[in-house]
Amino acid sequence: MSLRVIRPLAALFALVIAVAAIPLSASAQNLTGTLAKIKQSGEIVIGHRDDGAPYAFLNMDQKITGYSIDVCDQVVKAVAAAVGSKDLKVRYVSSTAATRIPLVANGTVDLDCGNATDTFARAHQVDFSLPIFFSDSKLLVLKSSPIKGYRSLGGKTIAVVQNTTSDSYFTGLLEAKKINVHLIRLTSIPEAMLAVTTGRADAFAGDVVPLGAQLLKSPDRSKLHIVGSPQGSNPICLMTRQNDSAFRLVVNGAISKMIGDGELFKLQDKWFGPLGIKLDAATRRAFIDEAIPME
Amino acid sequence: MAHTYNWNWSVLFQHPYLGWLISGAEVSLALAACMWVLAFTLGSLVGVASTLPNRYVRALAAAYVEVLRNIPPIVQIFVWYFVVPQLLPPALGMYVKRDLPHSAFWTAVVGLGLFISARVAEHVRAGIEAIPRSLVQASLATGLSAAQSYRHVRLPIAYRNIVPVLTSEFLICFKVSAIALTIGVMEMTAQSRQVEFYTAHGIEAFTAATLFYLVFSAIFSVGTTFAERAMRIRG
Repeated sequence: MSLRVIRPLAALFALVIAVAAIPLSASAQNLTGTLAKIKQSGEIVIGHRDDGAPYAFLNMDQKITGYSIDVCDQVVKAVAAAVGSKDLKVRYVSSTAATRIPLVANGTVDLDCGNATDTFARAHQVDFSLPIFFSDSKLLVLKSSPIKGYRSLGGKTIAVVQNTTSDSYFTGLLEAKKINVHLIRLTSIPEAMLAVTTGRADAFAGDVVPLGAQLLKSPDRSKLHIVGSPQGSNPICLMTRQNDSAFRLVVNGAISKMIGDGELFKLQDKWFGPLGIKLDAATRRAFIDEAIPME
Repeated sequence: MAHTYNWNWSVLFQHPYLGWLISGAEVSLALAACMWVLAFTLGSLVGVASTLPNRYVRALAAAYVEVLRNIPPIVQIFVWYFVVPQLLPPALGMYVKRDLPHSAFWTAVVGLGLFISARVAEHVRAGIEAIPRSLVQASLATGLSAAQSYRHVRLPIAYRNIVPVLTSEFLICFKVSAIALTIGVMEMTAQSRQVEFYTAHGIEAFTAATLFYLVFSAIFSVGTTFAERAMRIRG
Protein backbone atom coordinates (compact mmCIF):
# COMPACT_ATOMS: atom_id res chain seq x y z
CA MET A 1 0.00 0.00 0.00
CA SER A 2 1.23 3.47 -0.70
CA LEU A 3 1.94 5.91 2.10
CA ARG A 4 -1.05 7.95 1.07
CA VAL A 5 -3.34 5.11 2.15
CA ILE A 6 -1.35 3.96 5.18
CA ARG A 7 -1.13 7.33 6.93
CA PRO A 8 -4.87 8.00 7.17
CA LEU A 9 -5.47 4.33 8.06
CA ALA A 10 -2.87 4.56 10.83
CA ALA A 11 -4.40 7.79 12.12
CA LEU A 12 -7.85 6.20 12.11
CA PHE A 13 -6.48 3.13 13.91
CA ALA A 14 -4.85 5.31 16.57
CA LEU A 15 -8.08 7.26 17.02
CA VAL A 16 -10.07 4.06 17.48
CA ILE A 17 -7.61 2.81 20.10
CA ALA A 18 -7.65 6.15 21.91
CA VAL A 19 -11.43 6.28 22.01
CA ALA A 20 -11.64 2.68 23.19
CA ALA A 21 -9.18 3.41 25.97
CA ILE A 22 -11.23 6.27 27.44
CA PRO A 23 -13.73 4.10 29.34
CA LEU A 24 -10.90 2.01 30.79
CA SER A 25 -9.10 4.99 32.29
CA ALA A 26 -12.23 6.93 33.32
CA SER A 27 -13.83 4.19 35.38
CA ALA A 28 -10.80 3.95 37.65
CA GLN A 29 -10.39 7.71 38.17
CA ASN A 30 -13.96 9.05 38.22
CA LEU A 31 -14.64 8.88 41.95
CA THR A 32 -15.51 12.12 43.70
CA GLY A 33 -16.48 13.24 47.16
CA THR A 34 -17.07 10.54 49.75
CA LEU A 35 -16.37 7.69 47.35
CA ALA A 36 -12.97 9.18 46.57
CA LYS A 37 -12.28 9.66 50.26
CA ILE A 38 -13.24 6.06 50.98
CA LYS A 39 -11.07 4.68 48.21
CA GLN A 40 -8.13 6.76 49.31
CA SER A 41 -8.36 5.87 53.00
CA GLY A 42 -9.47 2.27 52.47
CA GLU A 43 -12.18 2.58 55.11
CA ILE A 44 -15.73 3.84 55.51
CA VAL A 45 -16.65 5.62 58.75
CA ILE A 46 -20.09 4.75 60.09
CA GLY A 47 -21.72 6.82 62.83
CA HIS A 48 -24.15 5.19 65.21
CA ARG A 49 -25.81 5.59 68.58
CA ASP A 50 -25.00 3.32 71.48
CA ASP A 51 -28.50 3.34 72.92
CA GLY A 52 -30.83 3.44 69.92
CA ALA A 53 -32.37 -0.02 70.19
CA PRO A 54 -33.31 -1.71 67.91
CA TYR A 55 -31.79 0.52 65.21
CA ALA A 56 -28.22 0.79 66.57
CA PHE A 57 -27.15 -0.22 70.04
CA LEU A 58 -24.44 -2.01 71.98
CA ASN A 59 -25.34 -5.62 72.71
CA MET A 60 -24.33 -7.59 75.78
CA ASP A 61 -20.84 -8.11 74.38
CA GLN A 62 -20.50 -4.35 73.85
CA LYS A 63 -20.57 -4.93 70.11
CA ILE A 64 -22.55 -2.55 67.89
CA THR A 65 -25.61 -4.19 66.39
CA GLY A 66 -29.11 -3.39 65.20
CA TYR A 67 -31.48 -2.98 62.25
CA SER A 68 -29.75 0.07 60.78
CA ILE A 69 -26.38 -1.59 61.26
CA ASP A 70 -27.58 -4.65 59.31
CA VAL A 71 -28.91 -2.39 56.56
CA CYS A 72 -25.58 -0.57 56.47
CA ASP A 73 -23.69 -3.86 56.17
CA GLN A 74 -25.38 -4.28 52.78
CA VAL A 75 -24.72 -0.65 51.89
CA VAL A 76 -21.04 -1.13 52.69
CA LYS A 77 -20.92 -4.07 50.25
CA ALA A 78 -22.33 -1.81 47.53
CA VAL A 79 -19.85 0.93 48.39
CA ALA A 80 -16.98 -1.55 48.25
CA ALA A 81 -18.09 -2.59 44.78
CA ALA A 82 -18.41 1.04 43.70
CA VAL A 83 -14.87 1.95 44.74
CA GLY A 84 -13.47 -1.34 43.52
CA SER A 85 -12.12 -2.39 46.91
CA LYS A 86 -12.03 -6.06 47.93
CA ASP A 87 -11.87 -5.65 51.70
CA LEU A 88 -13.20 -2.28 52.69
CA LYS A 89 -12.61 -1.60 56.37
CA VAL A 90 -15.47 -0.26 58.45
CA ARG A 91 -14.76 2.09 61.35
CA TYR A 92 -17.61 2.69 63.76
CA VAL A 93 -17.86 6.03 65.55
CA SER A 94 -20.26 6.60 68.44
CA SER A 95 -22.50 9.62 68.33
CA THR A 96 -25.59 10.99 70.04
CA ALA A 97 -28.73 12.58 68.69
CA ALA A 98 -27.16 16.02 69.13
CA THR A 99 -23.79 15.23 67.55
CA ARG A 100 -24.71 12.95 64.66
CA ILE A 101 -25.53 15.76 62.21
CA PRO A 102 -22.41 17.90 62.84
CA LEU A 103 -20.26 14.75 62.62
CA VAL A 104 -21.61 13.94 59.15
CA ALA A 105 -21.51 17.56 57.99
CA ASN A 106 -17.90 18.13 59.03
CA GLY A 107 -16.52 14.99 57.43
CA THR A 108 -15.85 12.84 60.51
CA VAL A 109 -18.58 10.34 59.64
CA ASP A 110 -19.37 9.18 56.10
CA LEU A 111 -22.67 7.44 56.78
CA ASP A 112 -24.90 7.72 59.83
CA CYS A 113 -26.65 4.42 60.56
CA GLY A 114 -29.12 5.04 63.34
CA ASN A 115 -32.63 6.29 63.73
CA ALA A 116 -32.45 9.78 62.27
CA THR A 117 -35.79 11.15 61.15
CA ASP A 118 -35.78 13.10 57.92
CA THR A 119 -36.92 16.65 58.70
CA PHE A 120 -36.86 19.82 56.62
CA ALA A 121 -34.61 21.66 59.07
CA ARG A 122 -32.11 18.81 59.18
CA ALA A 123 -32.08 18.50 55.41
CA HIS A 124 -30.33 21.89 55.29
CA GLN A 125 -27.34 20.31 56.99
CA VAL A 126 -27.18 16.77 55.64
CA ASP A 127 -28.79 14.57 53.00
CA PHE A 128 -31.08 11.69 53.86
CA SER A 129 -31.28 8.32 52.12
CA LEU A 130 -34.52 6.65 51.14
CA PRO A 131 -36.43 5.80 54.32
CA ILE A 132 -35.49 2.44 55.79
CA PHE A 133 -38.41 2.49 58.22
CA PHE A 134 -41.50 4.50 59.12
CA SER A 135 -42.22 5.08 62.77
CA ASP A 136 -45.00 6.79 64.69
CA SER A 137 -45.86 7.68 68.26
CA LYS A 138 -48.29 6.26 70.77
CA LEU A 139 -49.08 6.50 74.48
CA LEU A 140 -47.77 4.30 77.26
CA VAL A 141 -50.11 4.13 80.25
CA LEU A 142 -50.75 1.97 83.27
CA LYS A 143 -53.25 -0.78 82.51
CA SER A 144 -55.42 0.71 85.25
CA SER A 145 -55.51 4.11 83.58
CA PRO A 146 -58.72 5.48 82.02
CA ILE A 147 -56.74 6.96 79.14
CA LYS A 148 -57.53 5.17 75.90
CA GLY A 149 -56.11 7.55 73.31
CA TYR A 150 -54.97 11.03 72.43
CA ARG A 151 -58.47 12.47 72.82
CA SER A 152 -58.66 11.75 76.53
CA LEU A 153 -55.51 13.70 77.46
CA GLY A 154 -57.12 17.02 78.47
CA GLY A 155 -55.93 18.19 81.88
CA LYS A 156 -53.51 15.30 82.25
CA THR A 157 -49.78 15.16 82.91
CA ILE A 158 -47.79 13.74 80.03
CA ALA A 159 -44.17 12.64 80.10
CA VAL A 160 -42.05 12.87 76.96
CA VAL A 161 -38.39 12.44 76.23
CA GLN A 162 -36.72 15.80 75.52
CA ASN A 163 -36.17 16.58 71.87
CA THR A 164 -38.20 13.78 70.35
CA THR A 165 -41.03 14.10 67.88
CA SER A 166 -43.56 13.58 70.70
CA ASP A 167 -41.94 16.45 72.59
CA SER A 168 -42.26 18.78 69.62
CA TYR A 169 -45.80 17.55 68.89
CA PHE A 170 -47.09 18.42 72.37
CA THR A 171 -45.00 21.58 72.63
CA GLY A 172 -46.55 22.77 69.38
CA LEU A 173 -50.07 22.02 70.60
CA LEU A 174 -49.35 23.82 73.88
CA GLU A 175 -47.98 26.92 72.15
CA ALA A 176 -51.02 27.03 69.86
CA LYS A 177 -53.19 26.63 72.97
CA LYS A 178 -54.97 23.71 71.40
CA ILE A 179 -54.57 21.46 74.41
CA ASN A 180 -54.43 21.71 78.18
CA VAL A 181 -51.79 19.32 79.49
CA HIS A 182 -48.87 19.51 81.85
CA LEU A 183 -45.76 18.37 80.02
CA ILE A 184 -42.81 16.75 81.80
CA ARG A 185 -39.68 16.50 79.66
CA LEU A 186 -37.33 13.81 80.88
CA THR A 187 -34.10 12.69 79.31
CA SER A 188 -34.59 9.00 78.59
CA ILE A 189 -37.29 6.43 77.97
CA PRO A 190 -36.71 4.43 81.19
CA GLU A 191 -37.11 7.66 83.18
CA ALA A 192 -40.32 8.53 81.39
CA MET A 193 -41.63 5.02 82.06
CA LEU A 194 -40.67 5.46 85.72
CA ALA A 195 -42.65 8.71 85.78
CA VAL A 196 -45.71 6.75 84.70
CA THR A 197 -45.23 3.86 87.12
CA THR A 198 -44.55 6.17 90.09
CA GLY A 199 -47.56 8.32 89.32
CA ARG A 200 -45.72 11.50 88.31
CA ALA A 201 -47.30 11.34 84.86
CA ASP A 202 -50.56 9.93 83.52
CA ALA A 203 -49.07 8.88 80.20
CA PHE A 204 -45.80 8.71 78.32
CA ALA A 205 -45.95 9.77 74.69
CA GLY A 206 -43.18 8.36 72.57
CA ASP A 207 -42.03 6.72 69.39
CA VAL A 208 -43.39 3.16 69.30
CA VAL A 209 -40.11 1.53 68.33
CA PRO A 210 -37.81 2.49 71.23
CA LEU A 211 -40.88 2.35 73.46
CA GLY A 212 -41.49 -1.26 72.49
CA ALA A 213 -37.81 -2.10 72.96
CA GLN A 214 -37.72 -0.64 76.47
CA LEU A 215 -41.04 -2.17 77.45
CA LEU A 216 -39.69 -5.62 76.64
CA LYS A 217 -36.90 -5.10 79.17
CA SER A 218 -38.92 -3.30 81.80
CA PRO A 219 -39.66 -5.04 85.09
CA ASP A 220 -43.00 -3.18 85.15
CA ARG A 221 -44.16 -4.44 81.77
CA SER A 222 -47.08 -6.36 83.21
CA LYS A 223 -48.51 -3.11 84.57
CA LEU A 224 -48.18 -1.08 81.37
CA HIS A 225 -49.64 -1.10 77.92
CA ILE A 226 -49.56 1.00 74.75
CA VAL A 227 -52.70 2.78 73.55
CA GLY A 228 -53.69 5.41 71.04
CA SER A 229 -53.88 5.69 67.31
CA PRO A 230 -50.52 6.18 65.57
CA GLN A 231 -49.43 9.82 65.62
CA GLY A 232 -47.31 11.33 62.94
CA SER A 233 -45.06 9.54 60.54
CA ASN A 234 -41.33 9.61 61.00
CA PRO A 235 -39.30 8.44 58.01
CA ILE A 236 -36.16 6.88 59.47
CA CYS A 237 -33.22 7.32 57.10
CA LEU A 238 -29.46 7.03 56.83
CA MET A 239 -27.57 10.34 56.60
CA THR A 240 -24.84 11.41 54.19
CA ARG A 241 -23.09 14.67 53.40
CA GLN A 242 -24.68 17.17 51.05
CA ASN A 243 -23.54 17.73 47.47
CA ASP A 244 -22.56 14.10 47.04
CA SER A 245 -25.01 12.54 44.61
CA ALA A 246 -22.64 9.75 43.65
CA PHE A 247 -22.33 8.41 47.20
CA ARG A 248 -26.01 8.90 47.96
CA LEU A 249 -26.89 7.02 44.80
CA VAL A 250 -24.83 4.03 45.92
CA VAL A 251 -26.60 4.11 49.29
CA ASN A 252 -30.08 4.46 47.77
CA GLY A 253 -29.26 1.79 45.22
CA ALA A 254 -28.33 -0.65 47.98
CA ILE A 255 -31.55 0.13 49.85
CA SER A 256 -33.62 -0.24 46.69
CA LYS A 257 -32.00 -3.58 45.99
CA MET A 258 -32.85 -4.76 49.50
CA ILE A 259 -36.47 -3.71 48.99
CA GLY A 260 -36.60 -5.43 45.63
CA ASP A 261 -35.32 -8.79 46.87
CA GLY A 262 -37.23 -8.63 50.17
CA GLU A 263 -34.11 -8.46 52.34
CA LEU A 264 -35.24 -5.20 53.97
CA PHE A 265 -38.55 -6.74 55.03
CA LYS A 266 -36.74 -9.77 56.45
CA LEU A 267 -34.56 -7.46 58.54
CA GLN A 268 -37.64 -5.56 59.69
CA ASP A 269 -39.28 -8.78 60.85
CA LYS A 270 -36.07 -9.78 62.60
CA TRP A 271 -35.63 -6.55 64.57
CA PHE A 272 -39.14 -5.15 64.97
CA GLY A 273 -41.11 -8.40 65.18
CA PRO A 274 -40.07 -9.12 68.79
CA LEU A 275 -41.31 -5.64 69.74
CA GLY A 276 -44.72 -6.47 68.34
CA ILE A 277 -44.30 -3.97 65.49
CA LYS A 278 -45.23 -5.13 62.06
CA LEU A 279 -45.71 -2.79 59.14
CA ASP A 280 -49.04 -3.11 57.42
CA ALA A 281 -49.51 -3.85 53.73
CA ALA A 282 -49.92 -0.18 52.80
CA THR A 283 -46.58 0.74 54.36
CA ARG A 284 -44.83 -2.18 52.70
CA ARG A 285 -46.27 -0.95 49.41
CA ALA A 286 -44.81 2.50 50.22
CA PHE A 287 -41.35 0.94 50.40
CA ILE A 288 -41.80 -0.80 47.08
CA ASP A 289 -43.03 2.46 45.55
CA GLU A 290 -40.10 4.50 46.89
CA ALA A 291 -37.45 2.07 45.73
CA ILE A 292 -35.50 3.05 42.65
CA PRO A 293 -36.19 0.47 39.93
CA MET A 294 -32.86 -1.31 39.63
CA GLU A 295 -33.17 -2.64 36.08
CA MET B 1 -12.90 16.37 52.97
CA ALA B 2 -15.59 18.92 52.30
CA HIS B 3 -16.91 20.71 55.38
CA THR B 4 -20.55 21.26 54.64
CA TYR B 5 -21.83 22.42 58.05
CA ASN B 6 -24.23 25.19 57.24
CA TRP B 7 -23.75 28.12 59.64
CA ASN B 8 -26.71 30.31 60.48
CA TRP B 9 -26.38 32.47 63.59
CA SER B 10 -29.65 34.28 62.90
CA VAL B 11 -31.69 31.25 64.07
CA LEU B 12 -30.76 32.25 67.62
CA PHE B 13 -32.66 35.50 67.17
CA GLN B 14 -35.74 34.07 65.48
CA HIS B 15 -39.06 33.43 67.13
CA PRO B 16 -39.53 31.18 69.09
CA TYR B 17 -35.89 30.21 69.61
CA LEU B 18 -34.80 33.53 71.13
CA GLY B 19 -37.67 33.31 73.60
CA TRP B 20 -36.62 29.80 74.59
CA LEU B 21 -33.02 30.85 75.18
CA ILE B 22 -34.05 33.86 77.27
CA SER B 23 -36.44 31.70 79.29
CA GLY B 24 -33.64 29.18 79.83
CA ALA B 25 -31.34 31.94 81.03
CA GLU B 26 -33.95 33.17 83.52
CA VAL B 27 -34.50 29.66 84.87
CA SER B 28 -30.76 29.01 85.20
CA LEU B 29 -30.22 32.24 87.15
CA ALA B 30 -33.22 31.63 89.43
CA LEU B 31 -32.13 28.03 90.01
CA ALA B 32 -28.55 28.99 90.86
CA ALA B 33 -29.76 31.71 93.25
CA CYS B 34 -32.18 29.41 95.11
CA MET B 35 -29.59 26.62 95.24
CA TRP B 36 -27.03 29.03 96.71
CA VAL B 37 -29.40 30.33 99.40
CA LEU B 38 -30.06 26.75 100.53
CA ALA B 39 -26.42 25.69 100.17
CA PHE B 40 -25.01 28.68 102.04
CA THR B 41 -27.50 28.44 104.91
CA LEU B 42 -27.24 24.70 105.47
CA GLY B 43 -23.54 24.64 104.69
CA SER B 44 -22.85 27.30 107.31
CA LEU B 45 -24.85 25.45 109.96
CA VAL B 46 -23.11 22.15 109.23
CA GLY B 47 -19.70 23.82 108.96
CA VAL B 48 -20.07 25.43 112.37
CA ALA B 49 -21.41 22.16 113.79
CA SER B 50 -18.29 20.36 112.64
CA THR B 51 -16.16 22.63 114.85
CA LEU B 52 -18.20 22.28 118.04
CA PRO B 53 -16.82 20.51 121.09
CA ASN B 54 -19.54 17.80 121.16
CA ARG B 55 -18.12 14.82 119.25
CA TYR B 56 -21.50 13.35 118.28
CA VAL B 57 -22.49 16.62 116.66
CA ARG B 58 -19.16 16.69 114.85
CA ALA B 59 -19.67 13.09 113.69
CA LEU B 60 -23.12 13.89 112.33
CA ALA B 61 -21.75 16.88 110.50
CA ALA B 62 -18.93 14.79 109.07
CA ALA B 63 -21.39 12.14 107.88
CA TYR B 64 -23.54 14.81 106.22
CA VAL B 65 -20.52 16.14 104.37
CA GLU B 66 -19.16 12.76 103.31
CA VAL B 67 -22.46 11.42 101.99
CA LEU B 68 -23.51 14.53 100.14
CA ARG B 69 -20.26 15.54 98.55
CA ASN B 70 -19.16 12.08 97.43
CA ILE B 71 -22.29 11.03 95.56
CA PRO B 72 -22.41 12.57 92.07
CA PRO B 73 -25.03 15.32 91.92
CA ILE B 74 -26.79 13.71 88.97
CA VAL B 75 -27.42 10.62 91.11
CA GLN B 76 -28.58 12.76 94.04
CA ILE B 77 -31.09 14.64 91.91
CA PHE B 78 -32.55 11.37 90.60
CA VAL B 79 -32.95 10.10 94.16
CA TRP B 80 -34.81 13.24 95.20
CA TYR B 81 -36.99 13.18 92.08
CA PHE B 82 -37.91 9.50 91.80
CA VAL B 83 -37.16 7.83 95.12
CA VAL B 84 -37.90 10.29 97.91
CA PRO B 85 -41.52 10.97 96.87
CA GLN B 86 -42.15 7.22 96.97
CA LEU B 87 -40.87 7.04 100.53
CA LEU B 88 -43.07 9.86 101.79
CA PRO B 89 -46.55 9.21 103.20
CA PRO B 90 -48.84 8.67 100.16
CA ALA B 91 -50.73 11.97 100.43
CA LEU B 92 -47.56 14.02 100.77
CA GLY B 93 -45.90 11.99 98.03
CA MET B 94 -48.73 12.65 95.59
CA TYR B 95 -48.66 16.34 96.47
CA VAL B 96 -44.96 16.55 95.69
CA LYS B 97 -45.34 14.54 92.49
CA ARG B 98 -48.42 16.25 91.09
CA ASP B 99 -49.75 19.30 92.84
CA LEU B 100 -46.62 21.17 93.90
CA PRO B 101 -46.13 23.96 91.35
CA HIS B 102 -42.76 23.74 89.61
CA SER B 103 -42.10 20.43 91.31
CA ALA B 104 -39.02 19.67 89.22
CA PHE B 105 -37.52 23.12 89.87
CA TRP B 106 -37.80 22.80 93.66
CA THR B 107 -36.58 19.20 93.54
CA ALA B 108 -33.53 20.46 91.68
CA VAL B 109 -32.98 23.24 94.23
CA VAL B 110 -32.97 20.67 97.03
CA GLY B 111 -31.20 17.85 95.19
CA LEU B 112 -28.36 20.02 93.86
CA GLY B 113 -28.35 22.59 96.67
CA LEU B 114 -27.60 19.93 99.27
CA PHE B 115 -24.62 18.75 97.22
CA ILE B 116 -23.21 22.28 97.20
CA SER B 117 -24.03 22.73 100.89
CA ALA B 118 -21.72 19.86 101.81
CA ARG B 119 -18.89 21.59 99.99
CA VAL B 120 -19.72 24.94 101.60
CA ALA B 121 -19.67 23.22 104.99
CA GLU B 122 -16.11 22.10 104.38
CA HIS B 123 -15.02 25.60 103.39
CA VAL B 124 -16.65 27.08 106.50
CA ARG B 125 -15.02 24.45 108.70
CA ALA B 126 -11.63 25.14 107.18
CA GLY B 127 -12.13 28.88 107.64
CA ILE B 128 -13.00 28.46 111.30
CA GLU B 129 -10.18 26.03 112.01
CA ALA B 130 -7.64 28.32 110.35
CA ILE B 131 -8.10 30.90 113.08
CA PRO B 132 -5.14 30.68 115.52
CA ARG B 133 -6.02 29.05 118.85
CA SER B 134 -4.46 31.99 120.63
CA LEU B 135 -7.09 34.27 119.17
CA VAL B 136 -9.90 31.91 120.20
CA GLN B 137 -8.53 31.62 123.75
CA ALA B 138 -8.13 35.40 123.93
CA SER B 139 -11.75 35.91 122.97
CA LEU B 140 -12.89 33.47 125.65
CA ALA B 141 -10.56 35.07 128.19
CA THR B 142 -12.27 38.42 127.72
CA GLY B 143 -15.45 36.87 129.09
CA LEU B 144 -17.28 35.95 125.92
CA SER B 145 -19.24 32.70 125.99
CA ALA B 146 -18.50 30.10 123.35
CA ALA B 147 -21.52 31.18 121.31
CA GLN B 148 -20.54 34.83 121.59
CA SER B 149 -16.98 34.10 120.56
CA TYR B 150 -18.35 32.41 117.44
CA ARG B 151 -20.67 35.27 116.70
CA HIS B 152 -18.37 38.19 117.35
CA VAL B 153 -14.88 36.86 116.68
CA ARG B 154 -14.57 33.51 114.92
CA LEU B 155 -17.25 33.63 112.26
CA PRO B 156 -16.63 37.19 111.04
CA ILE B 157 -12.96 36.36 110.58
CA ALA B 158 -13.63 32.93 109.07
CA TYR B 159 -16.11 34.20 106.50
CA ARG B 160 -13.95 37.07 105.38
CA ASN B 161 -11.10 34.65 104.87
CA ILE B 162 -13.12 32.24 102.77
CA VAL B 163 -14.79 34.77 100.43
CA PRO B 164 -12.54 33.80 97.48
CA VAL B 165 -13.23 30.11 97.92
CA LEU B 166 -16.96 30.74 98.35
CA THR B 167 -16.93 32.70 95.10
CA SER B 168 -15.44 29.67 93.45
CA GLU B 169 -18.11 27.53 95.04
CA PHE B 170 -20.87 29.79 93.79
CA LEU B 171 -19.53 29.50 90.26
CA ILE B 172 -19.55 25.73 90.66
CA CYS B 173 -23.12 26.01 91.93
CA PHE B 174 -24.03 28.00 88.80
CA LYS B 175 -22.57 25.35 86.50
CA VAL B 176 -24.02 22.41 88.47
CA SER B 177 -27.47 23.93 87.97
CA ALA B 178 -27.36 22.56 84.41
CA ILE B 179 -27.82 19.06 85.84
CA ALA B 180 -31.42 20.04 86.54
CA LEU B 181 -32.18 19.38 82.89
CA THR B 182 -32.10 15.67 83.66
CA ILE B 183 -35.36 15.96 85.60
CA GLY B 184 -37.03 18.23 83.09
CA VAL B 185 -36.16 21.73 84.30
CA MET B 186 -35.92 23.77 81.11
CA GLU B 187 -32.87 25.77 82.05
CA MET B 188 -30.32 27.20 79.62
CA THR B 189 -28.61 23.97 78.57
CA ALA B 190 -31.94 22.19 78.06
CA GLN B 191 -33.23 25.07 75.92
CA SER B 192 -30.11 25.13 73.79
CA ARG B 193 -30.52 21.40 73.16
CA GLN B 194 -34.12 22.03 72.16
CA VAL B 195 -33.02 24.74 69.70
CA GLU B 196 -30.55 22.23 68.27
CA PHE B 197 -33.31 19.68 67.82
CA TYR B 198 -35.64 22.05 65.97
CA THR B 199 -33.09 23.87 63.81
CA ALA B 200 -30.24 21.37 63.33
CA HIS B 201 -27.90 24.32 64.11
CA GLY B 202 -26.39 22.71 67.17
CA ILE B 203 -23.08 24.52 67.19
CA GLU B 204 -24.74 27.95 67.22
CA ALA B 205 -27.18 26.86 69.94
CA PHE B 206 -24.47 25.49 72.21
CA THR B 207 -22.34 28.57 71.62
CA ALA B 208 -25.23 30.66 72.95
CA ALA B 209 -25.33 28.55 76.11
CA THR B 210 -21.54 28.74 76.46
CA LEU B 211 -21.55 32.52 76.19
CA PHE B 212 -24.35 32.76 78.76
CA TYR B 213 -22.38 30.77 81.35
CA LEU B 214 -19.14 32.60 80.57
CA VAL B 215 -20.61 36.09 80.70
CA PHE B 216 -22.54 35.59 83.92
CA SER B 217 -19.64 33.81 85.59
CA ALA B 218 -17.46 36.78 84.69
CA ILE B 219 -20.03 39.21 86.10
CA PHE B 220 -20.18 37.30 89.38
CA SER B 221 -16.40 37.02 89.61
CA VAL B 222 -15.91 40.75 89.10
CA GLY B 223 -18.68 41.50 91.57
CA THR B 224 -17.16 39.37 94.28
CA THR B 225 -13.70 40.85 93.68
CA PHE B 226 -15.09 44.18 94.85
CA ALA B 227 -16.79 42.50 97.81
CA GLU B 228 -13.54 40.75 98.71
CA ARG B 229 -11.61 43.99 98.72
CA ALA B 230 -14.21 45.74 100.82
CA MET B 231 -14.22 42.94 103.39
CA ARG B 232 -10.51 42.23 103.57
CA ILE B 233 -9.07 42.21 107.04
CA ARG B 234 -6.24 44.67 107.05
CA GLY B 235 -2.84 43.82 108.49
